[in-house]
Amino acid sequence: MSAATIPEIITIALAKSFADHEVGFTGLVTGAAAMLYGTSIPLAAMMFAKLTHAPNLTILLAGWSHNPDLASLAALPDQEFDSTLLDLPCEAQTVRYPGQFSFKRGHVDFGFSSGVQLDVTGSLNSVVIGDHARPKVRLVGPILQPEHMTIFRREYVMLPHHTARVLVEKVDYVSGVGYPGGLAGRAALGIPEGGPEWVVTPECIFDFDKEAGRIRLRSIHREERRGELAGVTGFALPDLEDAPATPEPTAEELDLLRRVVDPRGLLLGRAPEH
Amino acid sequence: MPSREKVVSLRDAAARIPPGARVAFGGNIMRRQVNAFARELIRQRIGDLTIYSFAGGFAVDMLAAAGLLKRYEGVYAGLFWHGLAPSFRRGVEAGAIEVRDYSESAQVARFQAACNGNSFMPIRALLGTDMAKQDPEITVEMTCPFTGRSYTAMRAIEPDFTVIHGYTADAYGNVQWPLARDADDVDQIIARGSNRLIVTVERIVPHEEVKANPHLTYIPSQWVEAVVEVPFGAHPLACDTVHDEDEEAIRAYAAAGRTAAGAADYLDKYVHVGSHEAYLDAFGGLAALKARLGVGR
Repeated sequence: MSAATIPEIITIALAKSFADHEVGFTGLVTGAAAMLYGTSIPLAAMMFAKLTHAPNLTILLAGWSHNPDLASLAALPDQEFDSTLLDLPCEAQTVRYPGQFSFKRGHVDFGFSSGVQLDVTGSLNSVVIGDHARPKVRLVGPILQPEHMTIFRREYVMLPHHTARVLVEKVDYVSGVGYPGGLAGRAALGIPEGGPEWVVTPECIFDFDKEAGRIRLRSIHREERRGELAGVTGFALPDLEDAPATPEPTAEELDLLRRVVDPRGLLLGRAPEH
Repeated sequence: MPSREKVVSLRDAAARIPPGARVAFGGNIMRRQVNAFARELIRQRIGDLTIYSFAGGFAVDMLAAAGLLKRYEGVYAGLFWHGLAPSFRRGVEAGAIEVRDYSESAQVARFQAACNGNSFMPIRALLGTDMAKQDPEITVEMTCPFTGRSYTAMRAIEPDFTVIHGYTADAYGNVQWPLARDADDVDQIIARGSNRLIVTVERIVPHEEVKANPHLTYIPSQWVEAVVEVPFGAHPLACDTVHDEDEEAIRAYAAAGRTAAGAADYLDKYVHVGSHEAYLDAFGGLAALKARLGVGR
């Protein structure tokens, strides 16, 4: 069997972090790289978890399709109201707002989000680069980011590009709040729970010293990239020398992933072997 | 690997409720009250209960007749065409049952606050009423920070358990509602604000049936901890589209409840009979009930 790809390594690492009975929420992110990190890897990871240690995990796709039968897909939907998505077999469709789930209630254990900037406190920005009143770049807006970062129990920030422009010392605008001032700072804002758990990039996984409110390197996907990481990251990496490798999936895990979870290579973008 | 199956017996489901629990009941006046579940609570003598409901009556009255109701918070406790809820009335008048009365939108606001993850919701309907002054643990007058208008803050209902009677469910607890009839159906709001949710249904159906019509899933499985097949679980009230009210049986219940002794005799004859199946047998059994009251869709 060929070696694991980076999306496969990330998928298995994510899957192992989910617990049985949790509810995971992923939006439908557009654009090839963003879709891989924002939607496809999360879906593959949740499906893998459901097939192994977490059968009661609930997948909320696009916030309204509960436990979709993704194996039946011949192609990934590329529109939010794509008919293949609307007709996708599933267990429940949320047809009203908020209907059968309510993130406000705390019904979502973890979500996946992305942004244009992420800073050392874990705060996220998808609103503006520069000043809000006269921005250098006007971006799309906050969408559901503050809900992901505040009301969900934990958040996986999925960044498809690891560059110094994305991973910054301080975001230009806080549209999703991390740990400014640490857990105490978060609590002082009136937010006793939630927040970013991991930040996942094509190079590495970050987590947080939540007490201190500071991002830290958790693991690196490819050893040969260790020397390059500081140059593509916009903040200091004091843990760079000590960070372990992101665990390689076992042959069994890869087999389940390739044969059952993603037999057509739709999610993780690899050609089918069988 | 753990299982997704959540089907349990009525006995096991009711046994999860500890004495003194705060329990929200689904249903609305004459439809889908959790009557079979209430009868099972009575058989197991689970008491000291606080019940939250929208418009209730029958289930609460049976608990009152059995001496198991400590407190009721809701908008209505009666038998509609068939008069007041007799045992409930007697218990309240004797000082044995505490009541917190709230109007429909006020009580729904309390359920909505819970299902939105908020600790209260502001409303205007109770201003000037005695309901607003009834219990400072539940209602507090407040001022809108934008307009200066007066509101009543309604505290969220955070029950220990919630019990709903529905139509069909798969073994995983995806509960489907084959109808959208009217605005008086607040069961989804009540279910969404639950902490531990038990659902009784007319029928357990194959998982494939759920997946064939996912838009009918009214309560998704992740909210549900136990699902129980209880045909005619709302009897003698209606489960609309499945069966109508059993008016004769409701009249007999109301008549028996006129005295405490009559209510006790009723419980002996119809409730303390061992099981829901035996209860249905006292009315001729499931097949006869279906023939007499079934809507036949």
